[in-house]
Amino acid sequence: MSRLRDLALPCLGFALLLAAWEIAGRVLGGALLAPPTSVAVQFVEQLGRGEMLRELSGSLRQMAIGFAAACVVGMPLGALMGRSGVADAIFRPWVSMLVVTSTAALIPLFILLLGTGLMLRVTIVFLASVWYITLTTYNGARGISAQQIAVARSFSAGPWQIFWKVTMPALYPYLLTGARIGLVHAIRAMVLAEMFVIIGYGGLMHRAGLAIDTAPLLGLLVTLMIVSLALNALLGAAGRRLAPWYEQQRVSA
Amino acid sequence: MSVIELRRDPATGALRAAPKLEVRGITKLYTRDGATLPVLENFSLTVADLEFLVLLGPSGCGKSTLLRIIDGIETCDAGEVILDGKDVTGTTGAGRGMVFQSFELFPWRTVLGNVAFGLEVAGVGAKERTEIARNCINLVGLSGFENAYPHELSGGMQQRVGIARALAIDPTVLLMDEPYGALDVQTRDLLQDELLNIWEKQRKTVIFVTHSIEEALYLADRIVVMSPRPARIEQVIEVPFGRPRREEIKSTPEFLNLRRQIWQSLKKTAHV
Repeated sequence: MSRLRDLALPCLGFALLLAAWEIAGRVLGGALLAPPTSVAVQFVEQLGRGEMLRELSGSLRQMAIGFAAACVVGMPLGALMGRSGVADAIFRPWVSMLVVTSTAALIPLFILLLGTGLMLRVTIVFLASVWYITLTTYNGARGISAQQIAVARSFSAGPWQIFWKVTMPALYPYLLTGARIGLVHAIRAMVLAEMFVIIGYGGLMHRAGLAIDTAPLLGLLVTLMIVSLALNALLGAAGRRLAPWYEQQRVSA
Repeated sequence: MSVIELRRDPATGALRAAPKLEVRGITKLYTRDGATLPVLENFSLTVADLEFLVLLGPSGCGKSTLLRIIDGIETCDAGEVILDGKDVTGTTGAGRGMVFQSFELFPWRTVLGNVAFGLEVAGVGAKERTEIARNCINLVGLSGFENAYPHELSGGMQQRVGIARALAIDPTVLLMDEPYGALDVQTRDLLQDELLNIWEKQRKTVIFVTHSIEEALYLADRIVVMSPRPARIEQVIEVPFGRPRREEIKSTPEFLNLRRQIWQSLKKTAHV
């Protein structure tokens, strides 16, 4: 019964959204808002042509470089800030400033600095996601129980053993959450940067936006949404596989 | 049987057994709102080998702090902790195993992983530590739960894991910090009996902290009654009951009498 409801209600929600979109699309016409029926036709055509998926996979690969760099820098930085008062005092003021800075506003500056190639996109993706990853890890690291550290010390664990066997596992849920939030921001930043310099998937969207018909643009948008959600779910599933205790603990709590 | 080392008393010249553990002149200061408060001031205590010693006192009297200083996870401002004749102040290990009040298991480790933790950080090989951990899990009655995670266990079961984890490193001194304080009365009674069973099988020196008079009388060879701020030894009681002890002694007149007597002594120092 509840399983059925869990499945039926979200489907109903989607159906309502599509119905509203369809009605609005019919009223406004394809030049302003293509209805889902014509987007679906367009979407199948786009899939068939191959350009959309080719550009998408190319863009995602570049995004992955920036995102991976953001994890490599943000996670240890956040852990360090959370565990050391000195590091906290040095880094947190400007990390807090950068996290609220609009990435879009930085793009023109970085075009001047880096040109319009790979480095630009990687840098923008990095800057858009690294501070979220840092601050999520930081909050987790601050909350690590002093008692658990005391237990490890009681059993004569050294500083490195404490770091690897207590601090990192205790941070795991925060690393995973930070990565998932960071990924959302990374994909958004990827499209944003590409729209500025009209290249890759964002460039495709920019060109589609200039056309008379809105169906191709909406097709690209829907594809991007599906891919973002899928990547996020994939990261979540990988996390649950790696740490069965975490999800179960949350459910039973 | 362990060999008891004999030492000549410097004052009387008589032979006597060297103590297992000595706490000499411990002072611990806490600073709060700019004021410095001594929790422990020049506190001394001697524990004999294989003795079951209970530190009894009201909350905040410094008994847990003292235990953590003995374990070495908390520093002190003066004094020393002597274990087997060696100064171990401020260091952990050396035969000390600790059981914590709120269990403090690692949620990301299974029962087996938690129990094996001390052996793992000590560099014992995987096969050997698994075998030792399994034996300890068996000893506390948790066979079949090796692969369970802590959140899947009740409070009583979690503390059994806590005890198994401390026993796994085969300590000569077992330190127990209000281990049953977070449990309901029935579970507490059951675990007291289990602890006595284990202790009769594997004799060790035990220092057990509690604020329950009944628990102290049921478990201890000797009770050190402490009063707070700064901690003083209010009274030392040699518990007259033989071993093995069973539940029934809790309702004997002698038990009730001692219980009342300790209560009177604690009441004097209580600040409510």
